Formats: sequence, structure tokens, C-alpha cells
Amino acid sequence: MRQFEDTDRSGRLVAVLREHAAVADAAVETPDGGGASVVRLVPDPERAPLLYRSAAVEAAGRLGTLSWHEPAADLRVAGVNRSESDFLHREIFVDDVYFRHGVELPPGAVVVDVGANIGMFTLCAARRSPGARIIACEPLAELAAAVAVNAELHAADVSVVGKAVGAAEGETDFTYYPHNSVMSGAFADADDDRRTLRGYLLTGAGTGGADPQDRIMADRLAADLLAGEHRRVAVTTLARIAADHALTRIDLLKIDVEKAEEDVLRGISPELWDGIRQIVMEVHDIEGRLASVTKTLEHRGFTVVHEQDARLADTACVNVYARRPGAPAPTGSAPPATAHHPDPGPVMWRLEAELLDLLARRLPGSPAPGRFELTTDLGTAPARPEAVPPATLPRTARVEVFSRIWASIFGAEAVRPDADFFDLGGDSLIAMRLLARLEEQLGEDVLEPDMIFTESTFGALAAAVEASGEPPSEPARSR
Amino acid sequence: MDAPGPRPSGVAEALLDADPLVRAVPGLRIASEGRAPLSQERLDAVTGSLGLPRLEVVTDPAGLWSVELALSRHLARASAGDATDGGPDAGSGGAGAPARPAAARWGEGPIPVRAGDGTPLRCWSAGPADAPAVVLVTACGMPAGLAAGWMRALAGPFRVVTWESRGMFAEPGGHGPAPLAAYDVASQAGDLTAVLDALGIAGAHVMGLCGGAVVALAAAATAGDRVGSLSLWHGDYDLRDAAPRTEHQRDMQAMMAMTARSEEKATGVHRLMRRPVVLDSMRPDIAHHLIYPYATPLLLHRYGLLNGAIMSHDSRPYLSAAQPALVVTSRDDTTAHPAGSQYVAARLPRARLVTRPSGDHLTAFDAGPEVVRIAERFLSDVLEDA
Repeated sequence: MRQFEDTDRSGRLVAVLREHAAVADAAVETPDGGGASVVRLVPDPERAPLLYRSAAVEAAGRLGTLSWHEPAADLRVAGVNRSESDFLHREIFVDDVYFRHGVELPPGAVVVDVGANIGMFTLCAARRSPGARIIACEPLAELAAAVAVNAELHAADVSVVGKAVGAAEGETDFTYYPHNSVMSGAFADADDDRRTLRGYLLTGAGTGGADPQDRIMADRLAADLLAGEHRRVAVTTLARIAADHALTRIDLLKIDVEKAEEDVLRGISPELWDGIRQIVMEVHDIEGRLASVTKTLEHRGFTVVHEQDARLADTACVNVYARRPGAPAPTGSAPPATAHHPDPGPVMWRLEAELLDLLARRLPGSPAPGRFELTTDLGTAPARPEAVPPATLPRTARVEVFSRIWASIFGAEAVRPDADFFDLGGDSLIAMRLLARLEEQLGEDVLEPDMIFTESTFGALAAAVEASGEPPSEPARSR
Repeated sequence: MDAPGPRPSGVAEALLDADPLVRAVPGLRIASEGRAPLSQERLDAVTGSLGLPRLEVVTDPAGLWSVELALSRHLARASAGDATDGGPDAGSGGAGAPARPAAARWGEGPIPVRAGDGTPLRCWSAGPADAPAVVLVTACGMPAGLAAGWMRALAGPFRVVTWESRGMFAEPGGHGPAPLAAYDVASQAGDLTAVLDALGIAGAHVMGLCGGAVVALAAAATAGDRVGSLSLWHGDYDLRDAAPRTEHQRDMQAMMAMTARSEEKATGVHRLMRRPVVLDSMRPDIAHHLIYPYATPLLLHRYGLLNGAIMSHDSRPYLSAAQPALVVTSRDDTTAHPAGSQYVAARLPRARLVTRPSGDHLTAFDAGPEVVRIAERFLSDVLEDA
């Protein structure tokens, strides 16, 4: 399928790549039939721990259906879809919605993250509080898996509880929006959720800067993808979680559970109430819920303030901030001496840019590599070449060409019939890349551009590629 | 420059700013709800007074396509501003709809000009006619409004002039974009000379942004003393193997090649560009400009021809241009690769390279204090030397 280049050029290229502190080792491959080369990189475990751990997660097969997203220059996460990762990052890291009105974390804090989604808040808490211990609750298996991977990636002390949190232990029906997981919940209501999204569209426009939520909303409305899957999930209570994890205090309880927030509070035992220092929660203010939650918290001795994000002015979503007098206090024991924040090293796009610059300076005139891939071991065969279409698709030459190109853009794990171009982070420019590479190998008009919109899954597009012509007589032409 | 009179409403100014887009696509709808809804009556009054096509107001954004959503957001911001300011037509009803302002606030125009091959062009001018001239060559295919920041920033000490890409905009009173004859880089660079001739400008500093940097460079190399000095901001150069390009540049080039192939092919890409998600890669405050070349299949086809010519034209032969030159890039520009600018600065005989800590061509278009200071300092040095 491919060959390792053993030429002077690739040798020079590898030597230059190794000059970069974040690169422990590298190898260059060129696809059969020519085309841009692929560089396999082993990140330096000390200088680029984030990328090294990413490669280790993938090598162990633990990425599963998740994808890597890099919403900021210093953050890499495993997520379900890119637009949601961007949205969560902006809400939690950029807008800092949970750390307002005096809410803060002491070092070595104990944090409970109820409704953790992919763990973005968990990561934020881990960064703000060296040595923090975090219990992250997320009932959806796909998202809970992301929390676990992200905790490992960022070396955070996180225990994942794969259950919903409510008033009593048991089970509940849960609606999962695979294309819009941040709105999933036990009290999901499609009409109401649609109204929330619509309200966001027009009030979100004045904020300046690209707004990922606009993308999610507009796209979901247009494509009518706000379709839920109903599941049965286990429910636990905060009292049970505290008992299971021997928690006597919680420095910050964060609740974002899409309308189930009052039930979460009902599941707190009287003795645990006394140990909770601060609470931040998103309240859906329907049927007087904000007043009710405020009353409950004030009755428990908290000072409560609430605010509504200007962009959510037409929705019922309100953020509530509750603190006990004097909180946050340095209640925790001092964090271990090792609990400082080591430099996580570069994220992938930053490393790629630096390597391309390095190559341009050191090897001027030499063609830039087409792509970089991470591995922990150059001796291990990459998963990519085995990215053949699943058995449900015909394994023809055309489909294999399409599979290789799809894998070269989205990764081998994305070669599956239901993988959706847009949920994988595809946009109009990536569509052009896909089409250009396809035309390079299979000739013009192999796929109509708008077909990526109407038939956006790998399976449907592969079928269209197969239907569009005979197998090429020359399977690959290099430029 | 502007005739004194009642201050136009934010909605009226926003519609003027989006004039090319509203005229290019008949039958647009806009969604309006929230705190400062725009009524159909009020919008009809404003579009009527401005001589713009009617826009249909709907309450539900579901089903709107990218251009309609971009315009909806643009107008929603303006409408909210009117409600806050208590502007002249704040509130419902059309009684306060303004007369059309004498000119856009950032310049006089569009002034019709004929290119050397007869192609009609639209240009704008701001600042005193006897001041040293600066010509802005902005990104290919974009409405002149995108250059408003620079027009405002430099007009006064300078006479600032810009024009829009040939074949991408309607002539006054015309329907659809004006005919496009030639679209190669030489023709686009020749349009700069036509603009200087029409406005009676003997020589100018030429400021090229993004793809406009290639046109500016070509003009500097071929138009002799008409270009007294040159500044190139986040240029999108094809330097063959001499400098790498970003993934964004390669993807854009693929899109231009595809849409240039035929109007039919552009129609397919246009359907893809109708998807609301495309707005994600466009800054909301200027999305109504950035989406313009994608607004119709014909515009997209022309954009592919014109911008494709720029993106695939080997710029290396132009690097002999002997004028004093400023080349600006940033360390983290992921749109136009900084290595291209570095190469250009190293080869131009009299170039000075400035590497900003961050930013790309869009932040350069903003004409914020940092970039304006860089430009003013260079212009001041050039004028002193002259």
C-alpha cells in the first residue's frame, strides 16, 4: 500500500523534524503512485506530553468513535463533534461562565461536575486548582468515555460516574441528541429545545467573533437534525456519590443537566449540604424554577445571585451562583508538591505549523509534507492503511480510493458508513479538499459538490463514488 | 464629504453597507425576532427609500440559507443598536425612514470607471483631492465596504482610493454583475492604472491586502512610477516550491479551480455554500461582505476565475519591483502562510518586513490601531524620503 522513503530527501526531512523539541522521532512515507508525503511523528513524552498521550490513547484503541478537537492553541480534547467542543470551550474557558460572582477554587479543591458532557468544565477546574479531585457525572456512555480520555490526556485526577444524577437512585428515560449532545437530558422537549436554539440565533449575532453555538443552531435548524434517541440510563444521587467517594466537602458543585437541576438538589443529604461550599448551576427558568431554586439555596445558607448571558436573552436559561459566606476558603489540604501545571506542549495544529516553518527555513524548495500523523512507535504499522471500507460497502477500487482519501482527512477511525462529513468537522473548504483529491485520482466529476450536503455520510458518498463511473485504468496519478 | 442632515438609522446604514449583496440576490428573506424586531412595514420603508429590492421578513430562521442568515444577523445588530440609541426610526413603523445618505460614510462612490478593455469598474475615494494618494487593493471579489476601516483611518492626511474586482458587481442601474472579459492578473493590475487615470492621480502608494497583494505587486512591477511605494499585507502568493502554503490556501485554490471550470460546476459548489454552517468560518460582523462572492452561482464562477487567477499565478517574476516596500505578516497566520511574505520581503530589493505577533488578513482589514500605526509610520518614512 505504501512504502517508506529511504532517500536522501526523506532522510534530511526526518533530521530536520527531529530538531524540533517536541519531536522524539519521525518517519516519512509516500503513498503508492506518488502524491504528498505523510510524516509519522513520535511526540516527545516530556516536551509534548499532550500529543504523546493522544497517540497512546489511539494506539490502545481507546479513542473509539471520538475525534480529536483543538478548540484553542493550548487545548486538545477528545470530543463527539467539533462544533460542540468549540462551543463548550468558548462557554467555559473563554467566557468563563462558571467562575463569576466570586466563585473560585482553592488549590486541591474537591469538585463535582454533574452533567459533565465531554469534561470541558472538568478540565477547566483541573487547570484552575492544582491537585484538584474531580468527580464527573455523565450518563451517556459516549460522553463519559470522552471525559475519561480527556482526564487521562491532561493528567487530571478525575473519577467518572457513568450515571445520571437525580432525587433518588433508579433509572430514567433520557433523550440523547447525537448531533447536539449539549442539549441531551432527561427532560428534553424537542419543541422547547428548538425554541431555545432559534432564540439564540438572532440574539447571538451581536457578540462579535465567530460563535460556535450559532453554527450548531443554524445548522441543526436547517438540516433538521434535532432528532433524539431515547435511552434508559441509571440514576444515582449526590448523597450516594459522596458516600461512595468518601466526600466530606465539595468546594464547587457544578450542575448543567438540562432541566433536571432541581432533582439533583433533592438528592443531597442534609449532612452533605453542610459540606458544599459553592454551587454553580444552569437553571431553565420555567414554571418559576429560578425562584424555587434560589429559595432552596438561600434556605441552605447560600448567598445567591443569578445572571443571564446576553446571548441567551430569549431563552429560559439562567446561571445561578451560590456561595456560603467566606467561600471559597482554603479548606483543602495543600496540594502535593508535584501538583503544578507542567507545560502540556503544543497542540497538533501548532506543531504542524512550526514544523512546516522549520522545514521551509531549513529545506527551502523542498515540497511540504501533505500531512502529519502521531504515533508512539514508528515500528507499529499505522492503522490508516488498513482503513478499508466496512463489509457493508463493496470493496471496489473506487471505494478504496475514496476510503483512503476520507481517512487521510478525518482519520482511519472515521471510515465507517454512518460517519457524517459535517459532524467530523467537515466544512466547505474541506469538501473542496476531498473533491480535489478524488478528482486527482479518479478524474473529474466523480462527485458533485452539493452531494456532500445531500449525502453527507461516508457510506452514501462511497456509494455515489462507486456509481459515478468505471474503475480507473490508472488508479493513481501523481501531479 | 457627507452632506449634513438627519442621521440615518442603523438599519439604513446596515442596508447601505450590504447594498451589493441585497442587489445581487433577488427575493432574500430575513428573520427577525428577539428584543428589537424589524417589522415588514419598517423594512419596506427603509429599502424603498434606499431604492433597494424588497426583503421579506420572516419570524423563523429555520430554512434560511447562509446569505439570508448573514444578512439577518447584520440587520439584527443594527436594529438592536437603533432600539438602544433611540435612533431616528427606532421602534415600529416606517415614519422615520431616512433619505438616502449622500454618500457612504467612508467614501464617495461608487464612481464609475472604465478599464482599459472597457470593463466597467466601481471605485471609491475619500480625503482631500490634493493629498498624497493611497490606493487600496483589497481581497478579490469583496465589496468595497470591507475596506471601510482603512478608508476612514487614512482619509485626511491622504486621499484614499479603492475599487472592486471587475465583473463581480452591477453597474449603476444594472441587473447582475457587469460583463467580465479578461480575468488574468495582468488585467486586474491594469485596472489600478485605469482607476488612477480616471481620478487624475499621477502616482500613489499602493496597499495590497490578501489576494490584493498579488495584484498590487504586479502593478508595482509593471506600472512603473505610477506606483511610488508599496505595502503588502498578509499576501496570498503562489511562489511555487519556494514557500509553503497553508491548508486553507490549498483548499481555497481547489475551490477556485472547481468553480472556475464552469457556471454549472459553480452551481454545485454554491449549493454547498448555502449551508448555514459556512457562516462559522466567517466573522459575524463582516460576514455580509465575506459571503458576497458566494452569493450566486454566477458570482462564484467569476470569483473562481478572478481569484483563481491570483492564487495560481507565480508571483516570483514580480519580485524585481524596485519601489520601497513594506511587507506585513504575522507569526500565526493560518490563512496566508507567513513564509510567503517572508520570501517576498527577502527578494524585493527595497522591502522591510514586519511580523506581527498575531493576526491574519481579516484583522488587517479591521484597520485597528496597531496596523494603522505600522502603515502610517511607513508612509511617513516614504514621504520624507521623497
